[in-house]
Amino acid sequence: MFSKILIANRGEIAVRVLRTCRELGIPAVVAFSEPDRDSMAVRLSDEAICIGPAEARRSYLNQPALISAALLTGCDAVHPGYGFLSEDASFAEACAVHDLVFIGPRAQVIERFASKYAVRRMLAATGLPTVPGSTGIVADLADALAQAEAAGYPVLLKPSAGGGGRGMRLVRSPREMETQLPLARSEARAAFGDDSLYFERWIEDNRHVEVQVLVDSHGTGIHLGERDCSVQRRHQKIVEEAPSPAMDEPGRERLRDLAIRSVVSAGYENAGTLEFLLDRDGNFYFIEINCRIQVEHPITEALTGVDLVAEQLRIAAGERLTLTQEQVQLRGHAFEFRITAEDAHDNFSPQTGIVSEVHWPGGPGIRVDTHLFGGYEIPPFYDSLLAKLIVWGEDRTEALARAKRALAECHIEGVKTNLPFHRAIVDNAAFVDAEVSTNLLDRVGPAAFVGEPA
Amino acid sequence: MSTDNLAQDMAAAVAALVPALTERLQRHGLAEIEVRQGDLRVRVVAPGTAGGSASLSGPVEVSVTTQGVGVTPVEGTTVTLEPIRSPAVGYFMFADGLGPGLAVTAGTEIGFVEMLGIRHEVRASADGVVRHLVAESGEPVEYGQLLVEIDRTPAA
Repeated sequence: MFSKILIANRGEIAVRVLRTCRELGIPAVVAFSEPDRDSMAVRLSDEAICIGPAEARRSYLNQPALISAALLTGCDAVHPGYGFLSEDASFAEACAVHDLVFIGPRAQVIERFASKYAVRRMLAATGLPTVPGSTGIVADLADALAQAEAAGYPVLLKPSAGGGGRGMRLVRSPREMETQLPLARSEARAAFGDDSLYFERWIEDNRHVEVQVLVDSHGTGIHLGERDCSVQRRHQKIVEEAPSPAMDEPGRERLRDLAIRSVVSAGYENAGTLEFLLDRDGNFYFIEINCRIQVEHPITEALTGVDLVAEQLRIAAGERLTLTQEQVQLRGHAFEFRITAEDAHDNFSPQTGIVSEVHWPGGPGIRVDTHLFGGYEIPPFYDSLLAKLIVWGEDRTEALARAKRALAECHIEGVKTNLPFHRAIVDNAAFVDAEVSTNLLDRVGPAAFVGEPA
Repeated sequence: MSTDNLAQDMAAAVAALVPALTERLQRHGLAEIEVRQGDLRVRVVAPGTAGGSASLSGPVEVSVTTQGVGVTPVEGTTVTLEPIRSPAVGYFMFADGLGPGLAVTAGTEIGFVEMLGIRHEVRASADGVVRHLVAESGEPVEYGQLLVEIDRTPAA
């Protein structure tokens, strides 16, 4: 195991990683940027080192500064948390060059799983269902019509050179393909100088389901069940739960088994998450893999009792998994509510300022992962996540009742948050009945949940 | 000996002597130390000596003279301290000859911080006189760590 770990992150995840280090008896050094000097992670740390100014590019994304900080403080491993450099193969490689262990997949593994398209093909080859679509670039209208017939309508036409949703066109029928294809082509040519197009079936009203896996460096892997992250706003997850309330037990079993078998045979390593789209009929399609600890990992911990950060450390240290698949017991139901500095009554506009007072709920089944304290000033430079409220119950009904109770106990003063949204969604019929799809919030708007500002 | 050589020798001697003398003065709580090296005479005076006790943290007055060549005494009495901070995470090294009492102008090299084999220069951000060497050569420093304090020359 490691003798000392540099935590190359901030906010609640820095505190989270620090806690595991403490429990394992491993000293940890918190790397921080200037505005984070008075942060919770620094306050709780044994040792902390300033790595740069506020701007992330010069601090939390500054690879030489982080590596130098690790070497200066005598660390032999670096935990990147999530975001920032957590899935950066070049950083993992730079750590290795300086004899530091990157706590995550090795650089070669990150690299191999980095390209979405390549990973889809690689995992499809191992038997994982992917979103049906054209095999590569469509040649002409006849080809498009034939392939769309096979994949099934509706399909989403995408420019091969594009990104970020630009130039995409929804096609619902062969007749629409005849009119849309030439339009999409000329649009792609104008926007990207390249008119090659491909398409994927459009999964309407999909849900987002993901499987947590752990794979050690000896090629042994286990899954720890799935999470359902369908409450989203502009592709940002807001509420997650486990297990997925939209799948039945045989469907869940099939998803978990396929996911773990597929990543192990593809040579994945360390903690990872396979993301899937789930359609109305219970079909799931692989989209991508995340090579890091995820924000929503605590709901898996709530169900399994496994400390995922500790497992990341053990795997990175070359140890074998301490659990077999049979020993992983998924018990009860858990929710996570991401509490952010975003004004729920003002279209989730980001807020900064001083948190003058904060009170968190307690009692049975409650966990709060946060870096807030009374008097904390939220810096404007980083993401708006303030806390994660994790609620566990024997079943979904109990967990939901607890969640309502716990959300009512939350009290944050000085800065506006999205708490009003959370309090509204736990009373929302679609949410209670597990009928939320990923596009719901963007379709109806947050005001439909929280009402207009008073 | 040309005037240029003399000036260079003097600067080198002062740079070598002043830090040592200042340190000794403060360590022993002395009021004044004066040493002679050939033609060069360096006198370091602790503040408030007229009043009796020497303050260990207060400003130090340094005067340097050579026989026949008058050198303007450097007054250590300004209150504006310019902090010079580390621009990187790494090992700090002072520039050769840097020490308390040395006059610097904005841009004078104070030293460098070596981060993974790359030198990040540390330069004076204002005209003035080096007051305190806060860090030590070879010391590991974090970003923003105070390295040197400079007494800013009052605007003319």
